Amino acid sequence: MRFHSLFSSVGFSNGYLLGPDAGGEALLVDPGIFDAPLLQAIERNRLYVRFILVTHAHNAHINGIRTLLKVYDAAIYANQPSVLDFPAHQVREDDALTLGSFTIRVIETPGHSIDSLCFLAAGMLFTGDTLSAGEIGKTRDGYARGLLLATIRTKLLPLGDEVLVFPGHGPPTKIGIEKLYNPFLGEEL
Amino acid sequence: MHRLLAPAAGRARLEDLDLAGVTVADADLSGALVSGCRFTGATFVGVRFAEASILLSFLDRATFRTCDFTGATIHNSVFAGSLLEECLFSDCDIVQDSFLGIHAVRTVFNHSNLYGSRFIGALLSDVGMRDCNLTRARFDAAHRKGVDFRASNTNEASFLEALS
Repeated sequence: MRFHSLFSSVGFSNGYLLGPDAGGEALLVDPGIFDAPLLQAIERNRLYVRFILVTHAHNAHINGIRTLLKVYDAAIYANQPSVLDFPAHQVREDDALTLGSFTIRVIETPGHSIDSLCFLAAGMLFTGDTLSAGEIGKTRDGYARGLLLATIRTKLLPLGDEVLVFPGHGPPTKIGIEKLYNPFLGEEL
Repeated sequence: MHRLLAPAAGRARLEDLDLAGVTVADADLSGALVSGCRFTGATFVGVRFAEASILLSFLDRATFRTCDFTGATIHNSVFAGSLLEECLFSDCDIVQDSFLGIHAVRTVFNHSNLYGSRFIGALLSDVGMRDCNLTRARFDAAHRKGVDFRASNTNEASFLEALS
């Protein structure tokens, strides 16, 4: 599997490109920017972006979609019927998506935003702004914070300590590392 | 004990390897490319990683004693929960790496770019971070004793004592 982590200095956000070793249909998680390094990563690996996964529709995570869709004929998967006025396949909790050579499990994780999703693929969890290394997503109020914490505890932490976490911001981590060192996860609800 | 040695000539390449729990002593991996590797729980003693490139790799809950990373490029990698004892990370490009909960003792990061790296909950004792770029670095809830930040832009890093 080809895997690339891409950083956008515009929204300080991460995007992730996954494709088969032999090239072909690829998926892109949270294209916060479409720039030369991303284009090079796609073309150098003989990939074609066919699927776009959106963890949540905040600008830092979707700003690259407009340009991307001028280059590649890709379908968008999100927790909304449209993203930036482009139609999207609206996905729900526990949906299992077969996208190219990847099977993706959808996990709804409201809290940071009402449309927040995580995607689990090949032992890798793409968490957007729900969970990052030593942090949880920012929330509007106490209710949303409680919802976010409960969601992380009940849906993400049980996935297994060795599950790799690739967040929308900051370095990667693991579920087991967050259990040990994320200071927010000890908070009372 | 496993021993990893760089080839006599050329740049060692370690890609997509799972070497969890390995013990490496007195090896010279200077200039090596380490990409997509897992060294969870590994032990490194006296290993040279000078000028190495360590990318998207997991070196969590590992032990590093007297290791030399001088001039290394370390991006999107995870050292969380590791013990770093008397290690050198000087003149490194350490971008978006996780040092959550590390215990660093007599370890030096001087003149390094620590952009976006996270030391949340770390225990830093007699650590040099002089003349470092700390933009977007996070030291929240870290215990710091004898950390030398002289000539570093601490105003661009986060040092929250309590997070909730």
